[in-house]
Amino acid sequence: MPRRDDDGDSDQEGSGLSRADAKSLAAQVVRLALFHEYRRQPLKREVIVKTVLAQKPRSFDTVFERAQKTLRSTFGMELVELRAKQKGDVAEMAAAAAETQRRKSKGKKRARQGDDEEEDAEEDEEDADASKEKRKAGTKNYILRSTLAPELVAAMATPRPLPFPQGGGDDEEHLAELEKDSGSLIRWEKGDGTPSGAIGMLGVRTVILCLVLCLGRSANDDQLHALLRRLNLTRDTVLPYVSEDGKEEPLTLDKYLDLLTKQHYLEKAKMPNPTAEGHIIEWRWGSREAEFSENAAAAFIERIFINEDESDPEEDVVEEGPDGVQRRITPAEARRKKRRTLRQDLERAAGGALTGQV
Amino acid sequence: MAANGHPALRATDLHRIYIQSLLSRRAMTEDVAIEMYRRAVSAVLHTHPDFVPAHQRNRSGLKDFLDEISVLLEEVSMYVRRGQEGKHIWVVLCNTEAGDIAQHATDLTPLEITFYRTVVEAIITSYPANSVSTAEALHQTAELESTMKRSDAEHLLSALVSRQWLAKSKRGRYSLAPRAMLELDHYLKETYEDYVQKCKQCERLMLSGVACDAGDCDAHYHTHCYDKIKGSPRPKCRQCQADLNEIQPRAIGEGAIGRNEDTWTNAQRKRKRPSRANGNGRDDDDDEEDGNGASLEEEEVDRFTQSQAQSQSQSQSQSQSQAGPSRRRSGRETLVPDSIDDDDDDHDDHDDESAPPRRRR
Ligand SMILES: [Zn+2]
Ligand SMILES: [Zn+2]
Repeated sequence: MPRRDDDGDSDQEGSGLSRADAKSLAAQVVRLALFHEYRRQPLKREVIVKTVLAQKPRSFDTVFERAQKTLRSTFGMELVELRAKQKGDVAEMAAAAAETQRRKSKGKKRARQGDDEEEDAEEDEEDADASKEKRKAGTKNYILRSTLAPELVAAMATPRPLPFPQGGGDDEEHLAELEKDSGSLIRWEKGDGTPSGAIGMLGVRTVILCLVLCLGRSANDDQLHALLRRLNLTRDTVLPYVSEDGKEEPLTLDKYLDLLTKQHYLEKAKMPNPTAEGHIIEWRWGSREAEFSENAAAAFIERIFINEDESDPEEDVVEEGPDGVQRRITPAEARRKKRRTLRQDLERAAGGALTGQV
Repeated sequence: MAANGHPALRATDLHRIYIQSLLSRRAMTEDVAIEMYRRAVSAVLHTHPDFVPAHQRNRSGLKDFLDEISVLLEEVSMYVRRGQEGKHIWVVLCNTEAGDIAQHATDLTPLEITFYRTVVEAIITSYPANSVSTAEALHQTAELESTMKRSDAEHLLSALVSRQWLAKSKRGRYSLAPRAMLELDHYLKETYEDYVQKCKQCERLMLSGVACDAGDCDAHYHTHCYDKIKGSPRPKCRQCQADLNEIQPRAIGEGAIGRNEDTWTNAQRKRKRPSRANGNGRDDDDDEEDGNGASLEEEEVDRFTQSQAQSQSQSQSQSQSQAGPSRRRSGRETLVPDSIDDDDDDHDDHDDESAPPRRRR
């Protein structure tokens, strides 16, 4: 039963809404946001206005702020506005992104919860350059992102087998369920109803995003597919990963790229072909980089290339210096070096400093 | 929140972690829910070694913790429901505002929602079997206004099982899974009040268990509730007071019908029921896993299946006359996410194509 009139408080909040009204409308926004996230679909401002605020379109800000408060305090999440679709030159975009990053770190002392206020403040800055102005126009599309500390998020995603019931238990079906369960607090394949919810698909997605990043943040369609072919993935390869919660059949690589575009993980840009008629297709990161950032991608790549617990930590590594002379260094030192070099290589490949929170 | 007698409940990271876990898992058996609580506490302890959880990391601690979660979620019309279904206690994240199916399964297309609704109806109106065979479930696509390919229906059924809206037994019969029982009970009680039974022991919805067979008595019990009564020194039927040691109850649920029903064909429905071959009793032996502990004597099975045949043909005619769409009532006023699509230009394409037959009223 709906129980919404709990405070019975009719304070006006300037928007013509009583506090109880604002609270109940905000609750609906929260639910709407959760439903949309399950479909990996950004929540649009106009949807909020139409479904929740039909009678009170001008109370958007009040209701939205209230919803953010609830999302942060109760759910450890917040709505983040997606950036606009990228236009123009990649290098220019990267410069703008780096600039944003610089500004952000300036105000980093503020609580994580103040993120959007911070953006508002930025908006007021008069010296904002033109390309940034354009971005700031805002898409009014929002996704949910965790506000929990990165260590907590990592812990929540760590799989660990569930203990079996004492005495073995007699319910085979139940035991089979326990065995299937990754044991992580967040069960990705359950929290995402779309085909991208399958863990294997998440892996493919991450690899594609990393490839695009390393191709200078913008991958020519042929280029990307040439690399994917080396992983045995052709355009019509059926990706055999379907979560049991999924209702669709396995997708081909091409279909999956389309889905990732729809879900804003990728952007597909048609560019005029400089050498011939027609146009060429370029792949870039989509606005979901608010969820999985370039720095997160770098951390992922590092984890693959640099094995923290490499076998036999006692043995020194022989490395050849630029002068061609060989010398011995400790494994820890070697890893540090490797990481530094890898990071430099990544930034060079991406064409600029990497952005975003890990 | 003050109105609920929880003056100063403030969410901590532990609450937030657990709520996120619930959102991704939706329905868990209690053992898993306790384990998730332990892991959530460890996660917090890892970053804040001096954190002291307010509740013990066991069953009773979890119960208190879940009460807090429910208080925190009340504002957004959600709560955590805990209840026994079959052999296990389940912990399910529920929506209070959503009496209807549509609000829960939000990534389903209108056609898929209608399909699920139709399967639910077939299950409920199959009383006392309260389950349908695979063929029967797939046949429900025939009831839809637009066509659904058989392979799509198969995928959808298995997704619905994985999402715990449906359960599939070893016999290949579909029934309602614990999550559906706990989340949809209002909807089911309101929409199918002529069919669904409440347990005489615990008053909750019951679709699988036993029914007292003394005289006219028709008291229904969950298997675990029945077992509880049987465990008492002088077990009596709550309704007719009959000595339950004297009465063999009849099975409700899958155990109520023989295996030959599992190979259902559309033609069979119209044909006269074939006379029973032997071996029904044998079949029932393996069925105990679905929780009907009642072992029926063979002749009772026969008597029972006959009466069941009658009641089935009855319920079929009923379902045609009144259980159709017009009988379904509209749910409460809610925020129905399925209306969201209308505004959306980049949503799943098939959402538009299928006319929304789910708009009832
Ligand atoms: Zn009961
Ligand atoms: Zn009785």
